[in-house]
Amino acid sequence: MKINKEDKFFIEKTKALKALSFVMDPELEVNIVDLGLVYEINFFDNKRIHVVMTFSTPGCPLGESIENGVKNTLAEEFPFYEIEVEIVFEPMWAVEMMSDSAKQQLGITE
Amino acid sequence: MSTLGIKNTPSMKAVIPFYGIAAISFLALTIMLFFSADAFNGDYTQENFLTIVHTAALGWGTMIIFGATFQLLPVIFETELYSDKLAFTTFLFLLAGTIILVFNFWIYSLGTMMQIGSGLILISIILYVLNVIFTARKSEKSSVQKYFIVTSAIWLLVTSIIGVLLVSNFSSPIFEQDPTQILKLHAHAGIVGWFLLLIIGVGSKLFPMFLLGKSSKEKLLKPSYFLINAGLLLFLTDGFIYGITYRTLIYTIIIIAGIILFLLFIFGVFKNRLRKKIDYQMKQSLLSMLFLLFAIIHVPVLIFKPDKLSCVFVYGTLIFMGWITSIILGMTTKTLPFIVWNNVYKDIVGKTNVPMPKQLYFDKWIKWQFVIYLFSMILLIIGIKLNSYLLLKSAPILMIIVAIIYNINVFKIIFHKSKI
Repeated sequence: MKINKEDKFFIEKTKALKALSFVMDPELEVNIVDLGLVYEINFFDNKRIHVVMTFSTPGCPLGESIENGVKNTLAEEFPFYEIEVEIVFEPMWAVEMMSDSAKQQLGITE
Repeated sequence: MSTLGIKNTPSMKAVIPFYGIAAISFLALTIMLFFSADAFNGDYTQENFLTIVHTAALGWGTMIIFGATFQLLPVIFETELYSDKLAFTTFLFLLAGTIILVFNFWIYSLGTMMQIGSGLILISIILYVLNVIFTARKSEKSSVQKYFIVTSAIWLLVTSIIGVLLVSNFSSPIFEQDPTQILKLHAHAGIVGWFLLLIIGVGSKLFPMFLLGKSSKEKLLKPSYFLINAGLLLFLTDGFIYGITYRTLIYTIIIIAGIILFLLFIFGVFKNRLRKKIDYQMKQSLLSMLFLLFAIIHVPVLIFKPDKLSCVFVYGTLIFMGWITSIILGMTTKTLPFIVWNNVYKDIVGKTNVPMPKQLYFDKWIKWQFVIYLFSMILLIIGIKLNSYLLLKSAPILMIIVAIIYNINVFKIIFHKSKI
């Protein structure tokens, strides 16, 4: 996920993304940002954060934990915000969405 | 953007009891194997052997597969399990039924108690089938895996009904045919219809998931499904009416063709995998497929030389101790730690540092479990082939060590408590 420097909430989004890089996918043991699971982080003027993300597989048995991880992490970082997480499967997650670092951690060669 | 409900994890009691009892059954099975080295010289319908086979098929294989299926149905069908309570009731009936049935085989008491045991198992299986079918009906997703899993449940029901009739046949004859012929039909409805279809259904989803590989041969799964079911249906119908004849070979070839298509699919996943490093759990699971291949090679001999007992025993060992045991050993630490971890840590993830699921068991022991298991299987197969008492006594000792390692890890996971 890339953040536009012109974005009104550039600082908040950068801070949120950094915080989310500590949330791990328990199966792959790689953080969800490097895995490319976070699609969007939207901040609103009424102190609301809306995260759009996916899982590596639909029906992921650890989905609830990952979602809680995102909510808890953002709640620590932005204590006075209302946090909403939306799980989507379109576009479907693919290995190509991973960062080079994630690919390296998983020993993936293309 | 399409969204999906994510609270798909079943409750602990719908899954964990199956894993715990299956682990104990595996240990009991290996101990029985040690004390039954002589059984490999005799008839496969003798009480020792029937006890071992039913401990393997029900207490070990079916027990853990029920638990794993209840855990994985939401992943595969992408919907919640129909009923956690029904799953736990299934467990209670299966546990009670298996203990009664296996104990009565051991003491060779073929009367009312054995009928009660088989009846309880049948009730458990009916409940399992209902849970699978109702979960499948809730799911909007149509996939070949769904057909494999639902059909395997129906074949399990067929296997169980034949089993109940066989037990009743001990007291008052029901079948006009030789009961050993019906026993072969019962065994293969279970091995092919239940275990094979279920393993293909679940395996074709899990192998690509864990290896991060998409098989280019996905389209082979549908013909595989039709070939295996057609071959099995013909085998059972013809076998029931005319017994085992040369035609059995034709039906076997049809089933084997279906299995080969599945193995080609797995080979495709393996070849196209992105994750080049394969852990010991996946090595163990892939080894299971080799055992399946070796077992198939023995089938023509079983048909044309059914009195060649060493071949019958090698076949049975490759199926239960090889193929089924190996895939369970491989997949347990790929599935069990996650449901426990999810239950213990899901509410505190992100608030504090939590261990990863891999840290819930002794990961380094998995390598030794794999190596000792492989040695044990090699010794066991050679022991049966050569009819060597020494090897038939030493191989189970190694298998007992495997079962102890496995039990320690399973119970370490099950009883994991948060230290936070």
